[in-house]
Amino acid sequence: VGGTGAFFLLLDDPEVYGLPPAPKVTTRDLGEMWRSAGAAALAMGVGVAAAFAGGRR
Amino acid sequence: MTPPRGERDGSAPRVVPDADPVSYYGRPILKGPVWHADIAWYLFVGGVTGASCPLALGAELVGNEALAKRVWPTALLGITISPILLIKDLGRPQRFLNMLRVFKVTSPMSVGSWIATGTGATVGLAAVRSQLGWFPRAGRVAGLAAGLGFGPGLATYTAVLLADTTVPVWHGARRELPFVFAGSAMASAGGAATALTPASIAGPARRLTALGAVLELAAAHRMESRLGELGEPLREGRPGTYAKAAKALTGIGTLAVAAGGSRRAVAVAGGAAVMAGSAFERFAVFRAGFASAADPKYTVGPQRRLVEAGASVGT
Repeated sequence: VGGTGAFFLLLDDPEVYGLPPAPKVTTRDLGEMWRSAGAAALAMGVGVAAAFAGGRR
Repeated sequence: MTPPRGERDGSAPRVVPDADPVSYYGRPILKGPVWHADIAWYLFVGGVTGASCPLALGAELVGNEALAKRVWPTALLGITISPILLIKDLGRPQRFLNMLRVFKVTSPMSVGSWIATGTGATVGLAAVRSQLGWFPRAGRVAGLAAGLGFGPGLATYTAVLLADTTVPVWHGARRELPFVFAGSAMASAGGAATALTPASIAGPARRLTALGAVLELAAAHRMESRLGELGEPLREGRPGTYAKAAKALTGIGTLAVAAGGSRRAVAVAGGAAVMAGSAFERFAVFRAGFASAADPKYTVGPQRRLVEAGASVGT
């Protein structure tokens, strides 16, 4: 691989051809997403601890 | 944007003005999710299972064995149903085993397959210990692993699974979605435990229900307000109805559990209402994703604004 093997010349905005104008690789934000999920999991732990802090039964 | 053709070449303006080119004849730009409703149910069941683990572990640690004895089986039932739902969506069981041939951090689905498998193994041991007293030491260790690791992971990784797609409403909600799911999971696990446990030992379950409901409602509110126009699919149509039902049921159920949770009938009804609210919230988010992918304006609008703001394109 290497080098452009083929390309398409678009004569109008990408939308006209059913293509996104500024496509995004969502996996780039994966670190942020896992951090957020980790924080949420931690919040769950804190919530459960708080539930037991109010009494054992 | 380009002026209507009539003005451009000097001929008489056409009766029908050119539409703003949102996409090729309004066709969706994204290929929508291919998941069936099984996956929405899995989001809910995984949530109940995931949050039941720390609840059961906590009950073990404070010496409330009677509560632990009732919550571990809930988690076990949930983690038995979960792979069935996943396999139903995959098509045949072998495909789930294929998921376990690799571990890939960049794929939430791969991470999730391993979390679900780990939850199954540890919850199984912990539940057997709590019911039959077998494997006393291994059961305790498994309970710790499930309560501190696998359970919370199972309840929140699904948010990453949805957010790591190009579906505008899911990706746009990537920061708040894990908290919505965590709150929803806590509320539903608390609700299940409240409904299935004698009121005298269910205090922690009732408090978990309330805390989870508050987190769920607050995070969902924040998510919807931050999404702005991208969040329309969450407010309109069927997902909008689900979201409203979710808020009403969660609110009413939580109030019932908090006010009358010491009475058996109220505890059962309130717990069930909170669980239903949690399920509706998952379905609202799930269905909104489909609506969001099907309408090209949610794909094009924000991206077009990026282009016009001069941002570098193609990342």
